[in-house]
Amino acid sequence: MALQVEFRDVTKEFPGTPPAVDRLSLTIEAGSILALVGPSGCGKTTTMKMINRLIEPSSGEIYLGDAPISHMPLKELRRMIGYVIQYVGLFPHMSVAENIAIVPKLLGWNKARIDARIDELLALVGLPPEHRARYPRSLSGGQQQRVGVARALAADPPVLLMDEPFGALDPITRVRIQDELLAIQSKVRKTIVIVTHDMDEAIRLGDKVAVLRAGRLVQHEPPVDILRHPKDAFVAELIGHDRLVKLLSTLPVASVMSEDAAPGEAPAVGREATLETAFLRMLDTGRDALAVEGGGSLHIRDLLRASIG
Amino acid sequence: MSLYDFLATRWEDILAVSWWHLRLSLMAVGLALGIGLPLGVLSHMNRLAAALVLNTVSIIYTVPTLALFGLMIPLLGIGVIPAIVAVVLYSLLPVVQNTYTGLANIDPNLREVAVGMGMGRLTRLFRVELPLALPVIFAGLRVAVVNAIGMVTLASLIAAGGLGDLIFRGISIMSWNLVIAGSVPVLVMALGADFLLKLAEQRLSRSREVAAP
Repeated sequence: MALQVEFRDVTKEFPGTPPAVDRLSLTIEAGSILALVGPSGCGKTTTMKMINRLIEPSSGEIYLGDAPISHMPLKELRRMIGYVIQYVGLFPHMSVAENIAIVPKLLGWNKARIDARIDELLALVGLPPEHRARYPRSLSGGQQQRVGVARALAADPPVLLMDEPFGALDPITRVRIQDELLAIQSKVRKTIVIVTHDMDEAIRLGDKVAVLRAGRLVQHEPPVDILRHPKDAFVAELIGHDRLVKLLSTLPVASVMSEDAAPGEAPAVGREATLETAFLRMLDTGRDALAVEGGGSLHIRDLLRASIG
Repeated sequence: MSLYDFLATRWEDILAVSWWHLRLSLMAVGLALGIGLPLGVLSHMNRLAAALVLNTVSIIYTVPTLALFGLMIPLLGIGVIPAIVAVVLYSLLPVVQNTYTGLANIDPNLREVAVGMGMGRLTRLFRVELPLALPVIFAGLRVAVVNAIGMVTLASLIAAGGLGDLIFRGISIMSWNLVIAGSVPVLVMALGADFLLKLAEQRLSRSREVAAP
Protein backbone atom coordinates (compact mmCIF):
# COMPACT_ATOMS: atom_id res chain seq x y z
CA MET A 1 0.00 0.00 0.00
CA ALA A 2 1.16 3.51 -0.72
CA LEU A 3 -0.44 6.91 -0.17
CA GLN A 4 -0.19 10.14 -2.08
CA VAL A 5 1.54 13.00 -0.29
CA GLU A 6 0.44 16.50 -1.18
CA PHE A 7 1.81 19.87 -0.10
CA ARG A 8 -0.74 22.67 -0.39
CA ASP A 9 0.75 26.12 -0.16
CA VAL A 10 3.13 25.17 2.65
CA THR A 11 5.42 27.77 4.17
CA LYS A 12 7.91 27.34 6.97
CA GLU A 13 9.46 30.37 8.55
CA PHE A 14 12.10 30.31 11.25
CA PRO A 15 12.37 33.56 13.22
CA GLY A 16 14.72 36.15 11.79
CA THR A 17 15.47 34.48 8.44
CA PRO A 18 13.79 34.39 5.04
CA PRO A 19 11.29 31.49 4.76
CA ALA A 20 13.02 28.09 4.66
CA VAL A 21 10.15 26.80 2.54
CA ASP A 22 8.11 29.31 0.62
CA ARG A 23 4.53 28.60 -0.56
CA LEU A 24 5.30 25.08 -1.70
CA SER A 25 2.63 23.16 -3.57
CA LEU A 26 3.67 19.72 -4.70
CA THR A 27 2.02 16.35 -5.22
CA ILE A 28 3.92 13.11 -4.81
CA GLU A 29 1.92 10.36 -6.48
CA ALA A 30 1.27 7.18 -4.53
CA GLY A 31 3.95 4.58 -5.22
CA SER A 32 6.40 6.98 -6.87
CA ILE A 33 9.84 8.25 -5.87
CA LEU A 34 10.36 11.97 -5.55
CA ALA A 35 13.93 13.23 -5.33
CA LEU A 36 14.18 16.59 -3.58
CA VAL A 37 17.37 18.20 -4.78
CA GLY A 38 19.13 21.50 -4.28
CA PRO A 39 22.15 23.11 -2.59
CA SER A 40 22.41 23.14 1.20
CA GLY A 41 20.01 25.59 2.78
CA CYS A 42 17.50 25.30 -0.07
CA GLY A 43 14.84 23.89 2.26
CA LYS A 44 14.82 20.29 1.03
CA THR A 45 15.40 18.72 4.45
CA THR A 46 12.89 21.06 6.07
CA THR A 47 10.37 20.07 3.40
CA MET A 48 10.89 16.39 4.13
CA LYS A 49 10.78 16.74 7.90
CA MET A 50 7.41 18.47 7.67
CA ILE A 51 5.97 15.22 6.31
CA ASN A 52 6.57 13.34 9.58
CA ARG A 53 6.10 16.54 11.55
CA LEU A 54 9.58 16.71 12.99
CA ILE A 55 9.06 20.28 11.79
CA GLU A 56 5.62 21.90 11.80
CA PRO A 57 4.71 24.20 8.89
CA SER A 58 4.01 27.88 9.64
CA SER A 59 1.10 27.83 7.21
CA GLY A 60 -0.45 25.58 4.59
CA GLU A 61 -1.33 21.92 4.93
CA ILE A 62 0.16 18.57 3.99
CA TYR A 63 -2.16 15.68 3.06
CA LEU A 64 -1.40 12.00 3.42
CA GLY A 65 -3.94 10.39 1.11
CA ASP A 66 -7.03 12.47 1.89
CA ALA A 67 -6.12 13.22 5.48
CA PRO A 68 -4.52 16.49 6.58
CA ILE A 69 -1.55 15.39 8.72
CA SER A 70 -1.99 18.22 11.22
CA HIS A 71 -5.15 16.41 12.40
CA MET A 72 -3.51 13.00 12.76
CA PRO A 73 -2.18 11.76 16.12
CA LEU A 74 1.55 12.42 16.00
CA LYS A 75 2.86 8.99 17.00
CA GLU A 76 0.42 7.22 14.68
CA LEU A 77 1.49 9.40 11.77
CA ARG A 78 5.17 8.75 12.41
CA ARG A 79 4.66 4.99 12.69
CA MET A 80 3.06 5.12 9.22
CA ILE A 81 6.17 6.76 7.77
CA GLY A 82 9.48 4.94 7.41
CA TYR A 83 12.47 7.17 8.15
CA VAL A 84 16.07 6.72 7.00
CA ILE A 85 18.79 9.29 7.68
CA GLN A 86 22.38 9.83 6.63
CA TYR A 87 24.83 7.69 8.62
CA VAL A 88 21.83 5.38 8.86
CA GLY A 89 20.97 6.11 12.49
CA LEU A 90 20.90 2.48 13.57
CA PHE A 91 20.87 2.17 17.34
CA PRO A 92 24.31 0.81 18.32
CA HIS A 93 23.02 -0.92 21.47
CA MET A 94 20.49 -2.98 19.55
CA SER A 95 21.13 -5.96 17.29
CA VAL A 96 20.04 -5.89 13.65
CA ALA A 97 16.85 -7.76 14.56
CA GLU A 98 16.08 -5.40 17.45
CA ASN A 99 16.62 -2.36 15.25
CA ILE A 100 14.23 -3.70 12.63
CA ALA A 101 11.66 -4.67 15.27
CA ILE A 102 11.29 -1.17 16.76
CA VAL A 103 8.17 0.08 15.00
CA PRO A 104 6.41 -3.34 14.91
CA LYS A 105 6.94 -3.49 18.68
CA LEU A 106 5.56 0.01 19.11
CA LEU A 107 2.54 -1.13 17.14
CA GLY A 108 2.11 -4.12 19.45
CA TRP A 109 2.76 -6.95 17.00
CA ASN A 110 3.31 -10.38 18.57
CA LYS A 111 6.73 -12.01 18.60
CA ALA A 112 6.02 -14.62 15.92
CA ARG A 113 4.80 -11.97 13.50
CA ILE A 114 7.79 -9.75 14.19
CA ASP A 115 10.23 -12.64 13.72
CA ALA A 116 8.66 -13.63 10.43
CA ARG A 117 8.76 -10.01 9.28
CA ILE A 118 12.46 -9.66 10.15
CA ASP A 119 13.31 -12.72 8.05
CA GLU A 120 11.24 -11.42 5.18
CA LEU A 121 12.91 -7.99 5.29
CA LEU A 122 16.46 -9.33 5.53
CA ALA A 123 15.74 -11.40 2.44
CA LEU A 124 14.24 -8.35 0.70
CA VAL A 125 17.32 -6.18 1.30
CA GLY A 126 19.70 -9.04 0.49
CA LEU A 127 21.22 -9.81 3.90
CA PRO A 128 21.73 -13.37 5.18
CA PRO A 129 19.48 -14.37 8.12
CA GLU A 130 22.58 -14.89 10.33
CA HIS A 131 22.92 -11.10 10.45
CA ARG A 132 19.91 -10.88 12.79
CA ALA A 133 22.05 -11.16 15.91
CA ARG A 134 24.87 -8.87 14.79
CA TYR A 135 25.39 -5.35 16.04
CA PRO A 136 25.55 -2.38 13.66
CA ARG A 137 29.23 -1.63 14.30
CA SER A 138 30.20 -5.07 12.99
CA LEU A 139 28.55 -4.34 9.61
CA SER A 140 29.95 -2.50 6.60
CA GLY A 141 28.47 0.84 5.54
CA GLY A 142 26.47 -0.77 2.76
CA GLN A 143 25.13 -3.47 5.07
CA GLN A 144 24.15 -0.86 7.65
CA GLN A 145 22.32 1.06 4.96
CA ARG A 146 20.40 -2.09 3.99
CA VAL A 147 19.41 -2.63 7.61
CA GLY A 148 18.32 1.02 7.74
CA VAL A 149 16.03 0.46 4.76
CA ALA A 150 14.72 -2.78 6.26
CA ARG A 151 13.99 -0.99 9.53
CA ALA A 152 12.12 1.79 7.75
CA LEU A 153 10.03 -0.75 5.85
CA ALA A 154 9.38 -2.91 8.92
CA ALA A 155 5.74 -2.05 9.54
CA ASP A 156 4.98 -1.79 5.83
CA PRO A 157 4.47 1.99 5.93
CA PRO A 158 2.80 3.67 2.94
CA VAL A 159 5.46 6.41 2.88
CA LEU A 160 9.25 6.32 3.20
CA LEU A 161 11.42 9.36 3.92
CA MET A 162 15.14 9.21 3.17
CA ASP A 163 17.43 12.06 4.17
CA GLU A 164 20.70 11.91 2.20
CA PRO A 165 20.59 8.15 2.75
CA PHE A 166 23.63 7.23 0.70
CA GLY A 167 25.79 10.27 1.43
CA ALA A 168 28.24 8.40 3.64
CA LEU A 169 28.90 5.55 1.20
CA ASP A 170 31.79 5.28 -1.23
CA PRO A 171 30.79 5.90 -4.89
CA ILE A 172 30.80 2.24 -5.94
CA THR A 173 28.77 1.02 -2.98
CA ARG A 174 26.44 3.99 -3.44
CA VAL A 175 25.53 3.07 -7.00
CA ARG A 176 25.00 -0.56 -6.01
CA ILE A 177 22.72 0.35 -3.10
CA GLN A 178 20.83 2.81 -5.33
CA ASP A 179 20.15 -0.04 -7.75
CA GLU A 180 19.07 -2.25 -4.89
CA LEU A 181 16.69 0.44 -3.65
CA LEU A 182 15.11 0.61 -7.11
CA ALA A 183 14.78 -3.18 -7.14
CA ILE A 184 13.15 -3.12 -3.72
CA GLN A 185 10.85 -0.31 -4.79
CA SER A 186 9.71 -2.34 -7.80
CA LYS A 187 8.49 -4.94 -5.27
CA VAL A 188 7.08 -2.77 -2.49
CA ARG A 189 5.82 0.30 -4.43
CA LYS A 190 6.00 2.85 -1.62
CA THR A 191 5.70 6.58 -1.89
CA ILE A 192 9.33 7.57 -1.32
CA VAL A 193 10.77 11.02 -0.73
CA ILE A 194 14.56 11.19 -1.04
CA VAL A 195 16.50 14.29 -0.07
CA THR A 196 19.83 14.65 -1.83
CA HIS A 197 22.22 17.36 -2.95
CA ASP A 198 23.51 15.08 -5.69
CA MET A 199 21.73 15.64 -9.00
CA ASP A 200 23.05 12.34 -10.41
CA GLU A 201 21.42 10.50 -7.52
CA ALA A 202 18.19 12.44 -8.01
CA ILE A 203 18.14 11.51 -11.71
CA ARG A 204 18.92 7.86 -11.05
CA LEU A 205 16.34 7.38 -8.34
CA GLY A 206 13.53 9.84 -8.91
CA ASP A 207 10.39 9.13 -10.90
CA LYS A 208 10.22 12.88 -10.58
CA VAL A 209 12.80 15.39 -9.45
CA ALA A 210 11.89 18.52 -7.53
CA VAL A 211 14.57 21.21 -7.63
CA LEU A 212 14.45 23.65 -4.73
CA ARG A 213 16.20 26.95 -4.40
CA ALA A 214 15.89 29.24 -1.38
CA GLY A 215 12.68 27.52 -0.30
CA ARG A 216 11.00 27.81 -3.70
CA LEU A 217 10.15 25.00 -6.07
CA VAL A 218 12.06 25.77 -9.27
CA GLN A 219 11.24 22.75 -11.38
CA HIS A 220 9.28 19.55 -10.76
CA GLU A 221 9.37 17.05 -13.60
CA PRO A 222 10.55 13.56 -14.57
CA PRO A 223 14.36 13.36 -14.81
CA VAL A 224 14.33 13.14 -18.61
CA ASP A 225 12.41 16.41 -18.92
CA ILE A 226 14.69 18.15 -16.44
CA LEU A 227 17.69 16.99 -18.47
CA ARG A 228 16.12 18.05 -21.76
CA HIS A 229 14.80 21.38 -20.62
CA PRO A 230 16.43 22.71 -17.47
CA LYS A 231 14.21 25.59 -16.50
CA ASP A 232 16.97 28.10 -15.86
CA ALA A 233 20.72 28.53 -15.46
CA PHE A 234 20.50 27.41 -11.81
CA VAL A 235 19.03 24.03 -12.71
CA ALA A 236 21.44 23.65 -15.63
CA GLU A 237 24.34 24.32 -13.29
CA LEU A 238 23.08 21.74 -10.78
CA ILE A 239 22.98 19.17 -13.59
CA GLY A 240 26.46 20.06 -14.79
CA HIS A 241 28.17 20.40 -18.17
CA ASP A 242 27.54 16.74 -19.07
CA ARG A 243 23.79 17.23 -19.19
CA LEU A 244 23.34 15.52 -22.56
CA VAL A 245 25.56 12.59 -21.61
CA LYS A 246 23.35 12.14 -18.55
CA LEU A 247 20.34 12.28 -20.81
CA LEU A 248 21.76 9.52 -23.01
CA SER A 249 22.47 7.42 -19.93
CA THR A 250 18.88 7.89 -18.75
CA LEU A 251 16.99 7.04 -21.94
CA PRO A 252 16.60 3.45 -23.19
CA VAL A 253 17.28 2.46 -26.80
CA ALA A 254 13.55 1.73 -27.20
CA SER A 255 12.70 5.43 -26.77
CA VAL A 256 14.25 6.61 -30.07
CA MET A 257 14.84 3.47 -32.19
CA SER A 258 13.15 2.95 -35.52
CA GLU A 259 11.36 -0.11 -36.88
CA ASP A 260 13.57 -0.17 -40.00
CA ALA A 261 15.61 -3.29 -40.43
CA ALA A 262 19.28 -2.89 -39.58
CA PRO A 263 22.04 -3.52 -42.17
CA GLY A 264 22.94 -7.21 -42.09
CA GLU A 265 26.28 -7.02 -40.32
CA ALA A 266 25.31 -4.36 -37.72
CA PRO A 267 26.31 -5.05 -34.07
CA ALA A 268 23.43 -5.79 -31.71
CA VAL A 269 22.14 -3.84 -28.71
CA GLY A 270 19.30 -4.57 -26.22
CA ARG A 271 16.05 -2.56 -26.22
CA GLU A 272 16.46 -1.67 -22.56
CA ALA A 273 20.13 -0.71 -22.86
CA THR A 274 20.80 3.00 -22.43
CA LEU A 275 21.52 5.25 -25.36
CA GLU A 276 24.90 5.89 -23.79
CA THR A 277 25.72 2.19 -24.10
CA ALA A 278 24.48 2.20 -27.71
CA PHE A 279 26.51 5.30 -28.58
CA LEU A 280 29.64 3.81 -27.07
CA ARG A 281 29.02 0.62 -29.05
CA MET A 282 28.90 2.72 -32.25
CA LEU A 283 32.13 4.53 -31.37
CA ASP A 284 33.74 1.24 -30.45
CA THR A 285 32.77 -0.60 -33.64
CA GLY A 286 32.93 2.37 -36.00
CA ARG A 287 29.38 1.64 -37.27
CA ASP A 288 26.63 4.24 -37.58
CA ALA A 289 23.76 1.75 -37.05
CA LEU A 290 23.01 -0.99 -34.55
CA ALA A 291 20.56 -3.88 -34.70
CA VAL A 292 18.13 -3.81 -31.80
CA GLU A 293 17.50 -7.23 -30.28
CA GLY A 294 13.95 -8.34 -31.05
CA GLY A 295 13.73 -6.31 -34.28
CA GLY A 296 14.29 -2.73 -35.40
CA SER A 297 17.43 -0.62 -35.56
CA LEU A 298 19.13 2.37 -34.05
CA HIS A 299 20.90 4.82 -36.37
CA ILE A 300 23.24 7.54 -35.15
CA ARG A 301 20.66 10.04 -36.56
CA ASP A 302 18.17 8.69 -33.99
CA LEU A 303 20.46 9.84 -31.20
CA LEU A 304 20.09 13.42 -32.39
CA ARG A 305 16.39 13.25 -31.54
CA ALA A 306 17.09 12.23 -27.94
CA SER A 307 17.59 15.75 -26.68
CA ILE A 308 14.35 16.98 -28.26
CA GLY A 309 12.05 14.15 -27.18
CA MET B 1 53.02 -8.58 69.22
CA SER B 2 54.24 -9.01 65.69
CA LEU B 3 51.90 -8.12 62.84
CA TYR B 4 51.76 -11.79 61.85
CA ASP B 5 50.70 -12.96 65.32
CA PHE B 6 48.21 -10.10 65.51
CA LEU B 7 46.57 -11.08 62.25
CA ALA B 8 46.65 -14.77 63.12
CA THR B 9 44.60 -14.17 66.26
CA ARG B 10 42.33 -11.41 64.98
CA TRP B 11 41.68 -12.31 61.33
CA GLU B 12 38.09 -13.37 61.93
CA ASP B 13 37.24 -10.03 63.53
CA ILE B 14 38.98 -8.11 60.75
CA LEU B 15 37.10 -10.05 58.11
CA ALA B 16 33.77 -9.45 59.83
CA VAL B 17 34.43 -5.71 60.18
CA SER B 18 35.52 -5.52 56.53
CA TRP B 19 32.34 -7.22 55.43
CA TRP B 20 30.26 -4.76 57.42
CA HIS B 21 32.30 -1.90 55.94
CA LEU B 22 31.63 -3.16 52.41
CA ARG B 23 27.92 -3.60 53.12
CA LEU B 24 27.61 -0.04 54.45
CA SER B 25 29.37 1.29 51.33
CA LEU B 26 27.28 -0.70 48.87
CA MET B 27 24.00 0.09 50.64
CA ALA B 28 24.82 3.78 50.47
CA VAL B 29 25.78 3.65 46.78
CA GLY B 30 22.69 1.57 46.01
CA LEU B 31 20.52 4.24 47.59
CA ALA B 32 22.48 7.00 45.84
CA LEU B 33 21.85 5.22 42.54
CA GLY B 34 18.13 4.88 43.32
CA ILE B 35 17.89 8.60 44.07
CA GLY B 36 20.52 9.97 41.71
CA LEU B 37 19.46 8.21 38.52
CA PRO B 38 15.94 9.69 38.51
CA LEU B 39 17.40 13.09 39.47
CA GLY B 40 19.80 12.87 36.54
CA VAL B 41 16.97 11.95 34.18
CA LEU B 42 14.85 14.79 35.54
CA SER B 43 17.73 17.22 35.00
CA HIS B 44 18.01 16.02 31.43
CA MET B 45 14.33 16.62 30.78
CA ASN B 46 13.94 20.00 32.44
CA ARG B 47 16.30 22.97 32.46
CA LEU B 48 15.09 24.38 35.76
CA ALA B 49 15.45 21.00 37.47
CA ALA B 50 18.92 20.70 35.95
CA ALA B 51 20.06 24.03 37.41
CA LEU B 52 18.60 23.18 40.81
CA VAL B 53 19.72 19.56 41.09
CA LEU B 54 23.19 19.87 39.58
CA ASN B 55 24.08 22.88 41.74
CA THR B 56 22.75 21.28 44.90
CA VAL B 57 24.68 18.03 44.49
CA SER B 58 27.82 20.00 43.59
CA ILE B 59 27.53 22.09 46.74
CA ILE B 60 27.05 18.98 48.88
CA TYR B 61 30.14 17.49 47.26
CA THR B 62 32.26 20.49 48.28
CA VAL B 63 31.51 19.97 52.00
CA PRO B 64 34.52 18.17 53.50
CA THR B 65 33.52 14.58 54.25
CA LEU B 66 34.51 14.84 57.88
CA ALA B 67 32.30 17.91 58.29
CA LEU B 68 29.44 16.14 56.55
CA PHE B 69 29.49 13.39 59.17
CA GLY B 70 29.67 16.05 61.88
CA LEU B 71 26.66 17.85 60.43
CA MET B 72 24.67 14.62 60.63
CA ILE B 73 24.83 14.54 64.44
CA PRO B 74 22.47 17.48 65.14
CA LEU B 75 20.17 16.37 62.29
CA LEU B 76 19.97 12.60 62.71
CA GLY B 77 22.07 11.72 65.73
CA ILE B 78 24.66 8.98 65.54
CA GLY B 79 24.69 5.42 64.25
CA VAL B 80 24.23 3.62 60.98
CA ILE B 81 21.44 5.72 59.51
CA PRO B 82 23.15 9.14 59.64
CA ALA B 83 26.34 7.52 58.36
CA ILE B 84 24.55 6.06 55.35
CA VAL B 85 22.77 9.35 54.71
CA ALA B 86 26.09 11.19 54.66
CA VAL B 87 27.62 8.74 52.18
CA VAL B 88 24.50 8.81 50.00
CA LEU B 89 24.62 12.61 49.84
CA TYR B 90 28.26 12.51 48.88
CA SER B 91 27.73 9.80 46.26
CA LEU B 92 24.95 11.71 44.52
CA LEU B 93 27.29 13.91 42.50
CA PRO B 94 29.01 11.26 40.39
CA VAL B 95 25.72 9.44 39.81
CA VAL B 96 23.61 12.50 38.93
CA GLN B 97 26.35 14.23 36.98
CA ASN B 98 27.18 11.19 34.87
CA THR B 99 23.55 10.34 34.21
CA TYR B 100 22.97 13.89 33.05
CA THR B 101 26.14 14.03 30.94
CA GLY B 102 25.52 10.58 29.46
CA LEU B 103 22.03 11.57 28.36
CA ALA B 104 23.11 15.00 27.10
CA ASN B 105 25.88 13.57 24.91
CA ILE B 106 23.74 11.15 22.90
CA ASP B 107 24.08 11.68 19.16
CA PRO B 108 21.23 14.09 18.27
CA ASN B 109 20.67 12.15 15.03
CA LEU B 110 19.81 9.03 17.01
CA ARG B 111 17.40 10.99 19.16
CA GLU B 112 15.76 12.42 16.06
CA VAL B 113 15.40 8.99 14.49
CA ALA B 114 13.74 7.74 17.68
CA VAL B 115 11.28 10.65 17.56
CA GLY B 116 10.77 10.23 13.83
CA MET B 117 9.91 6.55 14.26
CA GLY B 118 7.10 7.48 16.59
CA MET B 119 8.56 6.64 20.00
CA GLY B 120 6.96 8.41 22.95
CA ARG B 121 9.09 10.21 25.48
CA LEU B 122 9.28 7.36 27.99
CA THR B 123 9.82 4.67 25.36
CA ARG B 124 12.63 6.78 23.99
CA LEU B 125 14.13 7.19 27.46
CA PHE B 126 14.08 3.52 28.38
CA ARG B 127 14.73 1.92 25.01
CA VAL B 128 17.20 4.37 23.50
CA GLU B 129 18.56 7.12 25.72
CA LEU B 130 19.34 5.29 28.97
CA PRO B 131 20.91 2.28 27.21
CA LEU B 132 23.09 4.61 25.16
CA ALA B 133 24.10 6.56 28.28
CA LEU B 134 24.77 3.40 30.27
CA PRO B 135 28.59 3.31 29.89
CA VAL B 136 28.85 6.90 31.18
CA ILE B 137 26.43 6.22 34.04
CA PHE B 138 28.42 3.13 34.91
CA ALA B 139 31.64 5.14 35.07
CA GLY B 140 29.94 7.45 37.58
CA LEU B 141 28.85 4.47 39.61
CA ARG B 142 32.42 3.23 39.74
CA VAL B 143 33.66 6.56 41.10
CA ALA B 144 30.84 6.54 43.67
CA VAL B 145 31.69 3.03 44.92
CA VAL B 146 35.40 3.74 45.28
CA ASN B 147 34.67 7.05 47.06
CA ALA B 148 32.16 5.41 49.37
CA ILE B 149 34.54 2.64 50.46
CA GLY B 150 37.05 5.28 51.48
CA MET B 151 34.50 7.54 53.07
CA VAL B 152 32.84 4.87 55.21
CA THR B 153 36.10 4.73 57.16
CA LEU B 154 35.02 8.03 58.76
CA ALA B 155 31.58 6.61 59.63
CA SER B 156 33.27 5.10 62.67
CA LEU B 157 33.37 8.63 64.14
CA ILE B 158 29.57 8.66 64.44
CA ALA B 159 29.39 5.10 65.76
CA ALA B 160 28.44 3.29 62.57
CA GLY B 161 31.29 0.77 62.79
CA GLY B 162 33.39 -0.34 59.85
CA LEU B 163 37.13 -0.49 59.42
CA GLY B 164 37.45 3.05 60.79
CA ASP B 165 36.94 1.51 64.24
CA LEU B 166 40.21 -0.36 63.91
CA ILE B 167 42.09 2.57 62.46
CA PHE B 168 40.98 5.18 65.00
CA ARG B 169 41.43 2.80 67.92
CA GLY B 170 44.86 1.97 66.58
CA ILE B 171 45.78 5.65 66.39
CA SER B 172 44.53 6.40 69.91
CA ILE B 173 46.41 3.54 71.54
CA MET B 174 49.31 3.77 69.08
CA SER B 175 48.85 0.22 67.82
CA TRP B 176 50.17 0.20 64.27
CA ASN B 177 49.01 -3.38 63.89
CA LEU B 178 45.44 -2.16 64.32
CA VAL B 179 45.97 0.74 61.91
CA ILE B 180 47.33 -1.62 59.27
CA ALA B 181 44.59 -4.18 59.91
CA GLY B 182 42.06 -1.39 59.28
CA SER B 183 43.66 0.37 56.30
CA VAL B 184 44.83 -2.49 54.13
CA PRO B 185 41.32 -3.97 53.68
CA VAL B 186 40.01 -0.51 52.73
CA LEU B 187 42.69 -0.24 50.11
CA VAL B 188 42.12 -3.76 48.80
CA MET B 189 38.34 -3.32 48.60
CA ALA B 190 38.63 0.05 46.85
CA LEU B 191 41.13 -1.24 44.29
CA GLY B 192 39.17 -4.47 43.84
CA ALA B 193 35.87 -2.64 43.27
CA ASP B 194 37.56 -0.27 40.85
CA PHE B 195 39.06 -3.15 38.89
CA LEU B 196 35.87 -5.21 38.74
CA LEU B 197 33.66 -2.30 37.75
CA LYS B 198 36.12 -1.17 35.11
CA LEU B 199 36.09 -4.68 33.70
CA ALA B 200 32.30 -4.71 33.65
CA GLU B 201 32.31 -1.27 32.00
CA GLN B 202 34.59 -2.48 29.21
CA ARG B 203 32.50 -5.57 28.59
CA LEU B 204 29.44 -3.37 28.47
CA SER B 205 30.78 -1.15 25.71
CA ARG B 206 32.44 -4.00 23.86
CA SER B 207 29.28 -6.06 23.70
CA ARG B 208 27.96 -3.53 21.20
CA GLU B 209 30.84 -3.77 18.80
CA VAL B 210 31.10 -7.47 18.11
CA ALA B 211 28.67 -10.14 17.04
CA ALA B 212 26.41 -11.41 19.78
CA PRO B 213 27.16 -14.94 20.99
